[in-house]
Amino acid sequence: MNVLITGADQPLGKMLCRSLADRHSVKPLDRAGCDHREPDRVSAPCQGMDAIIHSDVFDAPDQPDALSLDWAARGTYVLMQAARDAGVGRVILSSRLSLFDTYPGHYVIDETWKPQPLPHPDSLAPYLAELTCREFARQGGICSLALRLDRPGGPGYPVQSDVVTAFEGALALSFEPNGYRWRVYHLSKSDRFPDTLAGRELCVTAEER
Amino acid sequence: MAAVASGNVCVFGAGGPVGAMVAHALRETYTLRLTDLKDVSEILKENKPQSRFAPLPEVPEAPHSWRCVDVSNYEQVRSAAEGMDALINVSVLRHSLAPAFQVNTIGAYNVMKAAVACGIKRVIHTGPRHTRLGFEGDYWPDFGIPDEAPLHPGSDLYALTKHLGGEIVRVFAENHRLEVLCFLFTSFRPGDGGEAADGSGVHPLSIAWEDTGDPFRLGLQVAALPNPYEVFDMTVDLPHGKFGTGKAQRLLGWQPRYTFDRLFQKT
Repeated sequence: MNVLITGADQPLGKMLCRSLADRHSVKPLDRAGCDHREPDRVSAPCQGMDAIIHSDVFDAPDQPDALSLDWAARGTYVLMQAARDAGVGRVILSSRLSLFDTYPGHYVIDETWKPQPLPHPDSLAPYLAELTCREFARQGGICSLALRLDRPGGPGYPVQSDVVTAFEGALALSFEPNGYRWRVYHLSKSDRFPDTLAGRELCVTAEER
Repeated sequence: MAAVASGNVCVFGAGGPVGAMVAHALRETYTLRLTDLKDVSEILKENKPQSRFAPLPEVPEAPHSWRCVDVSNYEQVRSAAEGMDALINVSVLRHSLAPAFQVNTIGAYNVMKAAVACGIKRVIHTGPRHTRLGFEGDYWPDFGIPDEAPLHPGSDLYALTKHLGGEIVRVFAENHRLEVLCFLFTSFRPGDGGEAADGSGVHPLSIAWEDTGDPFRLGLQVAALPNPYEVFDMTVDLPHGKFGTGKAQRLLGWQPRYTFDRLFQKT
Protein backbone atom coordinates (compact mmCIF):
# COMPACT_ATOMS: atom_id res chain seq x y z
CA MET A 1 0.00 0.00 0.00
CA ASN A 2 0.98 3.63 -0.42
CA VAL A 3 0.96 5.05 3.10
CA LEU A 4 1.45 8.67 4.15
CA ILE A 5 2.61 9.06 7.76
CA THR A 6 2.26 12.42 9.51
CA GLY A 7 4.45 13.34 12.44
CA ALA A 8 7.20 11.37 10.74
CA ASP A 9 9.84 13.35 12.60
CA GLN A 10 8.26 12.49 15.97
CA PRO A 11 9.04 9.26 17.88
CA LEU A 12 5.96 7.19 16.96
CA GLY A 13 5.80 8.38 13.37
CA LYS A 14 9.50 7.80 12.91
CA MET A 15 9.24 4.26 14.25
CA LEU A 16 6.26 3.49 12.01
CA CYS A 17 8.02 4.83 8.93
CA ARG A 18 10.97 2.55 9.66
CA SER A 19 8.92 -0.52 10.55
CA LEU A 20 6.36 -0.38 7.76
CA ALA A 21 8.77 0.49 4.97
CA ASP A 22 9.66 -3.11 4.09
CA ARG A 23 6.04 -3.99 3.27
CA HIS A 24 4.61 -0.66 2.13
CA SER A 25 5.58 2.36 0.12
CA VAL A 26 5.87 4.88 2.92
CA LYS A 27 5.84 8.64 2.43
CA PRO A 28 6.89 10.52 5.57
CA LEU A 29 5.38 13.91 6.32
CA ASP A 30 7.42 15.74 8.92
CA ARG A 31 5.88 18.20 11.31
CA ALA A 32 8.83 20.49 10.87
CA GLY A 33 8.67 20.48 7.09
CA CYS A 34 4.94 20.66 6.52
CA ASP A 35 2.32 22.67 8.33
CA HIS A 36 -0.59 20.36 7.60
CA ARG A 37 -3.05 23.02 8.74
CA GLU A 38 -2.53 24.58 5.31
CA PRO A 39 -4.47 22.87 2.49
CA ASP A 40 -1.84 23.77 -0.08
CA ARG A 41 0.81 21.88 1.88
CA VAL A 42 -1.19 18.68 2.33
CA SER A 43 -3.05 18.25 -0.92
CA ALA A 44 -0.13 17.01 -3.04
CA PRO A 45 1.25 14.49 -0.49
CA CYS A 46 -2.19 12.86 -0.26
CA GLN A 47 -2.35 12.14 -4.00
CA GLY A 48 -1.98 8.46 -4.83
CA MET A 49 -2.10 7.31 -1.21
CA ASP A 50 -4.12 4.29 -0.13
CA ALA A 51 -4.00 5.17 3.55
CA ILE A 52 -2.76 7.82 5.95
CA ILE A 53 -1.41 7.21 9.43
CA HIS A 54 -2.00 10.45 11.30
CA SER A 55 0.51 10.31 14.16
CA ASP A 56 1.24 13.98 14.42
CA VAL A 57 -1.24 14.66 17.24
CA PHE A 58 0.03 11.73 19.33
CA ASP A 59 3.54 13.08 19.65
CA ALA A 60 2.84 16.79 19.65
CA PRO A 61 5.65 18.82 21.21
CA ASP A 62 5.12 21.37 23.95
CA GLN A 63 3.69 24.54 22.44
CA PRO A 64 1.28 27.33 23.34
CA ASP A 65 -2.34 26.34 24.03
CA ALA A 66 -3.82 27.90 20.92
CA LEU A 67 -1.21 26.39 18.62
CA SER A 68 -1.61 22.95 20.15
CA LEU A 69 -5.40 23.01 19.72
CA ASP A 70 -5.24 24.51 16.24
CA TRP A 71 -2.69 21.96 15.10
CA ALA A 72 -4.88 19.10 16.31
CA ALA A 73 -8.24 20.45 15.18
CA ARG A 74 -7.53 22.39 11.98
CA GLY A 75 -4.63 20.13 11.07
CA THR A 76 -6.81 17.04 11.25
CA TYR A 77 -9.65 18.77 9.44
CA VAL A 78 -7.42 19.82 6.55
CA LEU A 79 -5.79 16.41 6.36
CA MET A 80 -9.15 14.61 6.31
CA GLN A 81 -10.49 16.94 3.65
CA ALA A 82 -7.40 16.48 1.48
CA ALA A 83 -7.54 12.71 1.99
CA ARG A 84 -11.19 12.51 1.00
CA ASP A 85 -10.64 14.72 -2.03
CA ALA A 86 -7.71 12.54 -3.11
CA GLY A 87 -9.73 9.34 -2.74
CA VAL A 88 -7.63 7.98 0.13
CA GLY A 89 -9.49 5.01 1.56
CA ARG A 90 -8.72 5.39 5.23
CA VAL A 91 -7.07 7.55 7.84
CA ILE A 92 -5.65 5.86 10.92
CA LEU A 93 -5.38 8.25 13.86
CA SER A 94 -2.84 7.61 16.59
CA SER A 95 -4.68 8.65 19.72
CA ARG A 96 -4.20 8.39 23.45
CA LEU A 97 -5.66 6.26 26.23
CA SER A 98 -5.09 9.18 28.59
CA LEU A 99 -8.57 10.26 27.50
CA PHE A 100 -9.75 7.87 30.23
CA ASP A 101 -7.48 9.03 33.05
CA THR A 102 -10.33 10.44 35.10
CA TYR A 103 -12.13 7.12 35.48
CA PRO A 104 -11.40 5.29 38.75
CA GLY A 105 -8.22 3.25 38.52
CA HIS A 106 -9.91 -0.08 39.13
CA TYR A 107 -12.34 0.29 36.20
CA VAL A 108 -11.76 -1.91 33.16
CA ILE A 109 -12.32 0.27 30.11
CA ASP A 110 -12.98 -0.90 26.58
CA GLU A 111 -13.76 0.92 23.36
CA THR A 112 -17.42 1.46 24.27
CA TRP A 113 -16.55 3.95 27.02
CA LYS A 114 -16.95 7.69 26.64
CA PRO A 115 -13.67 9.63 26.53
CA GLN A 116 -13.27 12.13 29.34
CA PRO A 117 -10.59 14.60 28.31
CA LEU A 118 -9.31 17.15 30.79
CA PRO A 119 -9.58 20.88 30.13
CA HIS A 120 -6.04 21.41 28.95
CA PRO A 121 -4.59 21.20 25.44
CA ASP A 122 -2.57 17.99 25.92
CA SER A 123 -5.75 16.14 26.71
CA LEU A 124 -8.13 18.03 24.42
CA ALA A 125 -5.93 17.75 21.31
CA PRO A 126 -6.34 14.00 20.68
CA TYR A 127 -10.03 14.28 21.54
CA LEU A 128 -10.61 17.04 18.97
CA ALA A 129 -8.70 15.01 16.40
CA GLU A 130 -10.85 11.96 17.11
CA LEU A 131 -14.08 13.95 16.78
CA THR A 132 -12.93 15.40 13.49
CA CYS A 133 -12.01 12.02 12.02
CA ARG A 134 -15.26 10.52 13.27
CA GLU A 135 -17.38 13.26 11.70
CA PHE A 136 -15.71 12.95 8.31
CA ALA A 137 -16.26 9.20 8.44
CA ARG A 138 -19.86 9.67 9.52
CA GLN A 139 -20.53 11.86 6.52
CA GLY A 140 -19.00 9.35 4.12
CA GLY A 141 -16.45 9.19 1.36
CA ILE A 142 -13.68 8.07 3.71
CA CYS A 143 -13.15 5.57 6.52
CA SER A 144 -11.23 6.26 9.70
CA LEU A 145 -10.15 4.51 12.84
CA ALA A 146 -8.40 5.52 16.02
CA LEU A 147 -5.73 3.45 17.68
CA ARG A 148 -5.51 4.62 21.27
CA LEU A 149 -2.17 3.96 22.92
CA ASP A 150 -0.79 4.54 26.40
CA ARG A 151 1.80 7.19 27.13
CA PRO A 152 5.14 6.36 25.54
CA GLY A 153 7.42 5.04 28.23
CA GLY A 154 4.51 4.43 30.59
CA PRO A 155 3.79 1.00 32.07
CA GLY A 156 0.94 0.37 29.65
CA TYR A 157 2.78 1.29 26.47
CA PRO A 158 2.87 -1.80 24.31
CA VAL A 159 6.03 -3.42 23.01
CA GLN A 160 7.05 -2.05 19.63
CA SER A 161 6.15 -5.23 17.77
CA ASP A 162 2.57 -4.99 19.06
CA VAL A 163 2.31 -1.38 17.94
CA VAL A 164 3.53 -2.27 14.46
CA THR A 165 1.22 -5.28 14.28
CA ALA A 166 -1.74 -3.11 15.29
CA PHE A 167 -1.00 -0.53 12.60
CA GLU A 168 -0.48 -3.31 10.03
CA GLY A 169 -3.84 -4.69 11.09
CA ALA A 170 -5.42 -1.27 10.78
CA LEU A 171 -4.09 -0.95 7.23
CA ALA A 172 -5.49 -4.36 6.31
CA LEU A 173 -8.80 -4.02 8.16
CA SER A 174 -11.87 -4.58 6.04
CA PHE A 175 -14.60 -1.93 6.10
CA GLU A 176 -17.92 -3.35 4.97
CA PRO A 177 -19.57 -1.19 2.26
CA ASN A 178 -22.64 -0.56 4.40
CA GLY A 179 -20.96 -0.86 7.79
CA TYR A 180 -19.41 1.59 10.21
CA ARG A 181 -16.84 3.89 8.71
CA TRP A 182 -15.41 4.92 12.10
CA ARG A 183 -13.82 2.45 14.52
CA VAL A 184 -11.80 2.66 17.71
CA TYR A 185 -9.24 0.25 19.17
CA HIS A 186 -7.35 0.21 22.46
CA LEU A 187 -3.81 -1.10 22.63
CA SER A 188 -2.17 -1.39 26.03
CA LYS A 189 -0.19 -3.75 28.20
CA SER A 190 -2.29 -2.64 31.16
CA ASP A 191 -5.21 -4.85 32.22
CA ARG A 192 -7.17 -1.60 32.66
CA PHE A 193 -7.56 -1.53 28.86
CA PRO A 194 -8.32 -5.00 27.54
CA ASP A 195 -7.37 -5.08 23.89
CA THR A 196 -9.52 -8.02 22.92
CA LEU A 197 -10.98 -6.04 20.04
CA ALA A 198 -7.51 -5.24 18.71
CA GLY A 199 -6.63 -8.90 19.14
CA ARG A 200 -9.67 -10.03 17.23
CA GLU A 201 -9.76 -7.47 14.44
CA LEU A 202 -6.19 -6.22 14.12
CA CYS A 203 -4.48 -9.57 14.70
CA VAL A 204 -2.52 -8.50 17.77
CA THR A 205 -1.99 -11.92 19.38
CA ALA A 206 -2.29 -12.71 23.08
CA GLU A 207 1.36 -13.70 23.21
CA GLU A 208 2.42 -10.32 21.95
CA ARG A 209 0.33 -8.63 24.62
CA MET B 1 -25.68 27.98 42.72
CA ALA B 2 -24.25 30.39 40.20
CA ALA B 3 -27.36 32.41 39.33
CA VAL B 4 -26.53 35.96 38.30
CA ALA B 5 -29.52 38.16 39.06
CA SER B 6 -27.60 41.39 38.57
CA GLY B 7 -24.04 42.60 38.13
CA ASN B 8 -21.50 42.62 35.32
CA VAL B 9 -21.81 40.54 32.17
CA CYS B 10 -19.33 40.34 29.31
CA VAL B 11 -20.63 39.45 25.86
CA PHE B 12 -18.18 38.12 23.26
CA GLY B 13 -19.37 38.61 19.69
CA ALA B 14 -21.66 41.49 20.57
CA GLY B 15 -21.36 42.91 17.07
CA GLY B 16 -23.48 40.14 15.55
CA PRO B 17 -27.27 40.00 15.44
CA VAL B 18 -27.63 37.59 18.38
CA GLY B 19 -25.28 39.79 20.37
CA ALA B 20 -27.42 42.79 19.48
CA MET B 21 -30.52 41.09 20.86
CA VAL B 22 -28.66 39.92 23.97
CA ALA B 23 -27.59 43.49 24.73
CA HIS B 24 -31.13 44.70 24.22
CA ALA B 25 -32.52 42.08 26.60
CA LEU B 26 -29.94 42.54 29.36
CA ARG B 27 -29.18 46.25 29.47
CA GLU B 28 -31.88 47.13 32.00
CA THR B 29 -30.70 44.50 34.50
CA TYR B 30 -26.95 44.16 34.05
CA THR B 31 -23.91 46.28 33.36
CA LEU B 32 -22.66 45.05 30.04
CA ARG B 33 -19.15 44.86 28.64
CA LEU B 34 -19.89 44.31 24.97
CA THR B 35 -16.97 43.03 22.92
CA ASP B 36 -16.30 42.22 19.31
CA LEU B 37 -13.38 42.13 16.92
CA LYS B 38 -14.58 45.41 15.48
CA ASP B 39 -15.65 48.60 17.17
CA VAL B 40 -19.39 49.18 17.14
CA SER B 41 -18.94 52.41 15.17
CA GLU B 42 -17.21 50.48 12.41
CA ILE B 43 -19.97 47.86 12.33
CA LEU B 44 -22.64 50.54 12.09
CA LYS B 45 -20.72 52.40 9.42
CA GLU B 46 -20.49 49.25 7.30
CA ASN B 47 -24.25 48.74 7.78
CA LYS B 48 -24.24 45.13 6.61
CA PRO B 49 -26.81 43.10 8.55
CA GLN B 50 -26.11 39.38 8.53
CA SER B 51 -29.40 38.82 6.71
CA ARG B 52 -32.35 40.87 5.56
CA PHE B 53 -34.04 41.27 8.94
CA ALA B 54 -31.06 40.66 11.23
CA PRO B 55 -30.52 43.40 13.81
CA LEU B 56 -27.40 45.51 14.13
CA PRO B 57 -25.84 46.41 17.48
CA GLU B 58 -26.42 49.76 19.13
CA VAL B 59 -23.81 52.08 20.56
CA PRO B 60 -23.90 51.34 24.31
CA GLU B 61 -24.61 54.11 26.76
CA ALA B 62 -23.03 54.30 30.22
CA PRO B 63 -22.73 52.30 32.37
CA HIS B 64 -22.41 49.85 29.50
CA SER B 65 -19.27 49.79 27.40
CA TRP B 66 -17.79 48.43 24.18
CA ARG B 67 -14.34 46.92 23.88
CA CYS B 68 -12.53 45.47 20.88
CA VAL B 69 -11.59 41.89 21.71
CA ASP B 70 -10.25 39.13 19.51
CA VAL B 71 -11.56 35.92 21.10
CA SER B 72 -8.64 33.99 19.65
CA ASN B 73 -6.33 36.08 21.86
CA TYR B 74 -6.43 34.68 25.39
CA GLU B 75 -4.94 37.73 27.05
CA GLN B 76 -7.61 39.97 25.55
CA VAL B 77 -10.36 37.56 26.56
CA ARG B 78 -8.98 37.23 30.09
CA SER B 79 -8.76 40.99 30.46
CA ALA B 80 -12.34 41.42 29.29
CA ALA B 81 -13.54 38.74 31.71
CA GLU B 82 -11.99 40.33 34.78
CA GLY B 83 -14.55 41.76 37.18
CA MET B 84 -17.43 40.02 35.46
CA ASP B 85 -20.12 37.89 37.11
CA ALA B 86 -21.02 35.97 33.96
CA LEU B 87 -19.80 35.48 30.40
CA ILE B 88 -21.82 35.09 27.20
CA ASN B 89 -20.13 33.87 24.04
CA VAL B 90 -22.06 34.49 20.82
CA SER B 91 -18.97 34.91 18.65
CA VAL B 92 -18.89 32.99 15.40
CA LEU B 93 -17.09 32.88 12.09
CA ARG B 94 -18.51 30.63 9.42
CA HIS B 95 -16.74 30.30 6.12
CA SER B 96 -13.02 30.94 6.33
CA LEU B 97 -10.80 28.03 7.35
CA ALA B 98 -8.24 29.39 9.80
CA PRO B 99 -10.46 32.07 11.38
CA ALA B 100 -13.28 29.55 11.85
CA PHE B 101 -11.02 27.40 14.03
CA GLN B 102 -9.56 30.45 15.77
CA VAL B 103 -12.95 31.91 16.69
CA ASN B 104 -15.28 28.92 17.00
CA THR B 105 -12.92 26.41 18.59
CA ILE B 106 -9.98 28.21 20.19
CA GLY B 107 -12.18 31.18 21.09
CA ALA B 108 -14.41 28.84 23.07
CA TYR B 109 -11.34 27.49 24.86
CA ASN B 110 -10.14 30.99 25.69
CA VAL B 111 -13.51 32.08 27.09
CA MET B 112 -13.74 29.02 29.33
CA LYS B 113 -10.14 29.29 30.47
CA ALA B 114 -10.80 32.93 31.35
CA ALA B 115 -13.98 32.00 33.21
CA VAL B 116 -12.02 29.57 35.37
CA ALA B 117 -9.17 32.02 35.89
CA CYS B 118 -11.58 34.75 36.98
CA GLY B 119 -13.75 32.52 39.18
CA ILE B 120 -16.81 32.95 36.96
CA LYS B 121 -19.31 30.10 37.29
CA ARG B 122 -22.14 31.02 34.93
CA VAL B 123 -21.42 31.01 31.20
CA ILE B 124 -23.77 30.95 28.24
CA HIS B 125 -22.27 29.45 25.12
CA THR B 126 -23.97 29.34 21.72
CA GLY B 127 -23.80 27.42 18.50
CA PRO B 128 -25.81 26.02 15.63
CA ARG B 129 -27.84 22.87 15.40
CA HIS B 130 -27.26 22.25 11.74
CA THR B 131 -29.87 20.55 9.62
CA ARG B 132 -29.86 19.57 5.95
CA LEU B 133 -26.16 18.79 5.91
CA GLY B 134 -26.81 16.17 3.28
CA PHE B 135 -26.29 12.95 5.20
CA GLU B 136 -28.58 10.97 7.49
CA GLY B 137 -26.45 11.53 10.57
CA ASP B 138 -27.71 15.09 11.00
CA TYR B 139 -31.16 13.82 12.15
CA TRP B 140 -32.95 15.62 9.32
CA PRO B 141 -35.05 12.52 8.53
CA ASP B 142 -35.95 12.07 12.24
CA PHE B 143 -38.66 13.37 14.56
CA GLY B 144 -38.94 13.91 18.29
CA ILE B 145 -35.32 15.06 18.42
CA PRO B 146 -34.40 15.95 22.02
CA ASP B 147 -32.22 18.89 22.97
CA GLU B 148 -29.57 16.45 24.19
CA ALA B 149 -29.26 14.69 20.83
CA PRO B 150 -25.50 14.85 20.18
CA LEU B 151 -24.50 17.05 17.30
CA HIS B 152 -23.34 15.31 14.15
CA PRO B 153 -21.74 18.12 12.18
CA GLY B 154 -20.03 15.99 9.55
CA SER B 155 -17.31 17.85 7.72
CA ASP B 156 -19.12 21.17 7.43
CA LEU B 157 -16.57 23.79 8.51
CA TYR B 158 -18.95 25.99 10.48
CA ALA B 159 -20.82 23.10 12.09
CA LEU B 160 -17.70 21.15 13.00
CA THR B 161 -15.68 24.03 14.40
CA LYS B 162 -18.57 25.11 16.60
CA HIS B 163 -19.10 21.51 17.68
CA LEU B 164 -15.47 21.21 18.71
CA GLY B 165 -15.82 24.47 20.62
CA GLY B 166 -18.93 23.17 22.33
CA GLU B 167 -17.14 20.01 23.40
CA ILE B 168 -14.32 22.09 24.87
CA VAL B 169 -16.88 24.12 26.80
CA ARG B 170 -18.54 20.95 28.09
CA VAL B 171 -15.20 19.54 29.25
CA PHE B 172 -14.44 22.75 31.16
CA ALA B 173 -17.92 22.84 32.69
CA GLU B 174 -17.78 19.24 33.89
CA ASN B 175 -14.25 19.41 35.24
CA HIS B 176 -14.57 22.75 37.01
CA ARG B 177 -18.18 22.32 38.15
CA LEU B 178 -19.37 25.38 36.28
CA GLU B 179 -22.96 26.07 35.25
CA VAL B 180 -22.94 26.45 31.51
CA LEU B 181 -25.90 26.77 29.21
CA CYS B 182 -25.43 26.11 25.51
CA PHE B 183 -28.09 27.63 23.26
CA LEU B 184 -28.34 26.07 19.80
CA PHE B 185 -29.96 28.08 17.04
CA THR B 186 -30.84 27.26 13.46
CA SER B 187 -33.25 29.65 11.77
CA PHE B 188 -34.09 33.24 12.66
CA ARG B 189 -37.06 35.23 11.37
CA PRO B 190 -38.73 38.50 12.20
CA GLY B 191 -41.56 37.87 14.64
CA ASP B 192 -44.28 38.65 12.10
CA GLY B 193 -42.69 36.36 9.55
CA GLY B 194 -41.51 39.28 7.43
CA GLU B 195 -42.56 39.16 3.82
CA ALA B 196 -43.19 35.41 3.77
CA ALA B 197 -46.67 34.54 2.56
CA ASP B 198 -49.25 32.85 4.75
CA GLY B 199 -48.82 29.10 4.63
CA SER B 200 -45.42 29.36 2.96
CA GLY B 201 -43.78 27.25 5.65
CA VAL B 202 -41.27 27.68 8.41
CA HIS B 203 -38.11 25.78 9.35
CA PRO B 204 -38.90 23.35 12.21
CA LEU B 205 -36.22 24.91 14.42
CA SER B 206 -36.99 28.61 14.28
CA ILE B 207 -36.99 31.57 16.61
CA ALA B 208 -37.97 35.20 16.17
CA TRP B 209 -35.21 37.76 16.35
CA GLU B 210 -37.37 39.59 18.91
CA ASP B 211 -37.41 36.47 21.14
CA THR B 212 -33.69 35.76 20.88
CA GLY B 213 -32.45 37.88 23.78
CA ASP B 214 -34.80 36.85 26.55
CA PRO B 215 -33.49 33.28 27.00
CA PHE B 216 -30.10 34.78 27.86
CA ARG B 217 -31.60 36.79 30.72
CA LEU B 218 -33.41 33.69 31.96
CA GLY B 219 -30.23 31.67 31.56
CA LEU B 220 -28.30 34.05 33.78
CA GLN B 221 -31.03 34.11 36.42
CA VAL B 222 -32.03 30.45 36.61
CA ALA B 223 -31.24 29.27 40.12
CA ALA B 224 -29.68 25.93 39.32
CA LEU B 225 -29.15 23.50 36.48
CA PRO B 226 -29.32 19.72 36.66
CA ASN B 227 -25.92 19.30 35.01
CA PRO B 228 -22.81 21.47 34.60
CA TYR B 229 -23.47 21.70 30.85
CA GLU B 230 -27.02 21.94 29.58
CA VAL B 231 -27.92 22.19 25.89
CA PHE B 232 -31.07 23.92 24.69
CA ASP B 233 -32.53 23.93 21.18
CA MET B 234 -33.80 27.48 20.84
CA THR B 235 -37.00 27.20 18.86
CA VAL B 236 -40.63 28.03 19.22
CA ASP B 237 -42.88 25.02 19.60
CA LEU B 238 -43.83 24.21 16.02
CA PRO B 239 -46.18 21.46 14.91
CA HIS B 240 -43.68 19.60 12.72
CA GLY B 241 -42.81 17.24 15.57
CA LYS B 242 -39.05 17.51 15.01
CA PHE B 243 -37.89 19.84 17.80
CA GLY B 244 -39.62 21.46 20.74
CA THR B 245 -39.36 24.11 23.41
CA GLY B 246 -39.93 21.66 26.25
CA LYS B 247 -36.55 21.92 27.89
CA ALA B 248 -36.24 25.71 27.70
CA GLN B 249 -39.75 26.07 29.09
CA ARG B 250 -39.12 23.53 31.85
CA LEU B 251 -35.72 24.70 33.04
CA LEU B 252 -35.74 28.39 32.14
CA GLY B 253 -39.43 29.25 32.10
CA TRP B 254 -39.01 30.66 28.58
CA GLN B 255 -42.20 31.52 26.71
CA PRO B 256 -41.58 32.75 23.16
CA ARG B 257 -43.90 35.54 22.10
CA TYR B 258 -43.81 34.85 18.37
CA THR B 259 -44.96 31.46 17.13
CA PHE B 260 -45.17 31.93 13.34
CA ASP B 261 -48.70 30.55 13.21
CA ARG B 262 -49.60 32.22 9.94
CA LEU B 263 -46.64 30.64 8.19
CA PHE B 264 -47.96 27.10 8.62
CA GLN B 265 -51.69 27.78 8.29
CA LYS B 266 -54.04 28.49 5.38
CA THR B 267 -55.62 31.90 5.31
